[in-house]
Amino acid sequence: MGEVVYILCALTSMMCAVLLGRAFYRTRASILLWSTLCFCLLAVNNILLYLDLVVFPPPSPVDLRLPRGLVYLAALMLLVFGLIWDSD
Amino acid sequence: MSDEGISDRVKRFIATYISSVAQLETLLLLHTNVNQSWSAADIARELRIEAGGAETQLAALVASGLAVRVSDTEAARAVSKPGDTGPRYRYNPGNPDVEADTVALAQAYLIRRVTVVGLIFAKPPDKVRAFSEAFRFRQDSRKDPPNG
Amino acid sequence: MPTVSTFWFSFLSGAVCVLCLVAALLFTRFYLRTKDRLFVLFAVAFAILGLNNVLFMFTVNRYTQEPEQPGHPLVYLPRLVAFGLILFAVIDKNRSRTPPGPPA
Repeated sequence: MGEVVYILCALTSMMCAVLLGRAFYRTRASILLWSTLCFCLLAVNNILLYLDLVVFPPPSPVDLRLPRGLVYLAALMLLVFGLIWDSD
Repeated sequence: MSDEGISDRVKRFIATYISSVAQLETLLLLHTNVNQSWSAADIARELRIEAGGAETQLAALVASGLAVRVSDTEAARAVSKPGDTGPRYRYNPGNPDVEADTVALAQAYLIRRVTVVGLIFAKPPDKVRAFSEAFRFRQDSRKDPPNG
Repeated sequence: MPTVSTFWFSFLSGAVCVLCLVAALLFTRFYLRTKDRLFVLFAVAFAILGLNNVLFMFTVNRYTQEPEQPGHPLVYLPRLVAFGLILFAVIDKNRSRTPPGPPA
């Protein structure tokens, strides 16, 4: 069940990244650049969660928690920066 | 295109409140007939635009505090065409400065229409709205701010 | 076996939580400014994502004492709701409320 959720979340994030990226390409508004990057990284985070569940379940020595956390943190830092700095 | 001849207060008013020509003309319609309430259908008829567009402009004017929706009882009394049961709106500036700015804008539009229109289209894009508009699948290059 | 100290996990989790809530706050501000429904939905979505991190405290694995198990419902259900809201916001944006046709 969790695997399905994370794939759906990854797809939704990718869709948002595409829409925001396309708009940035057209308008060059920097708020869109930061949001695009945020949703790209959120997609990566969700994919890592999926990998953590399916490809590297708990008994595995590969621990994805640190990369997951760092990617998630980076995503939100970019978003919050963009929403504050570039919202006029 | 130079924008001399337009006072700073009018420029500021346009930058703050006016995002399209349709919105300007809706505002001026409401302003010219202060004691009259208008429905979206009325505006659409006067300005020769679609009713949905008129509704958008009226909602935007209400949101920026330039117009108010009239009470239902007053609306029922004021219906000009049978079957027109939509909400009705009236100009309501809220304070005398806004009223003075609107009057100045109306005069500027009368004598320097091209310049005023140029100022409307020269507005810097609203980044916040750009974020929201990015999520439309099919992009529209209109400058009207849709609501919702 | 985890090789990174639990401090880092707590730090990252806490930082993410606060940033999500800040993002929710900023989206709320945008909503108040523009009255655009998309922003409310995004605000709620990110608030839920922020609270999701709080729920990690209740997902500690009984045997390994590791928190944040991705397979735990308390981890993925709020995320599902949050992204569901985001998806709904995008769909809602595209249900045409503005009239088609040439500019006025």
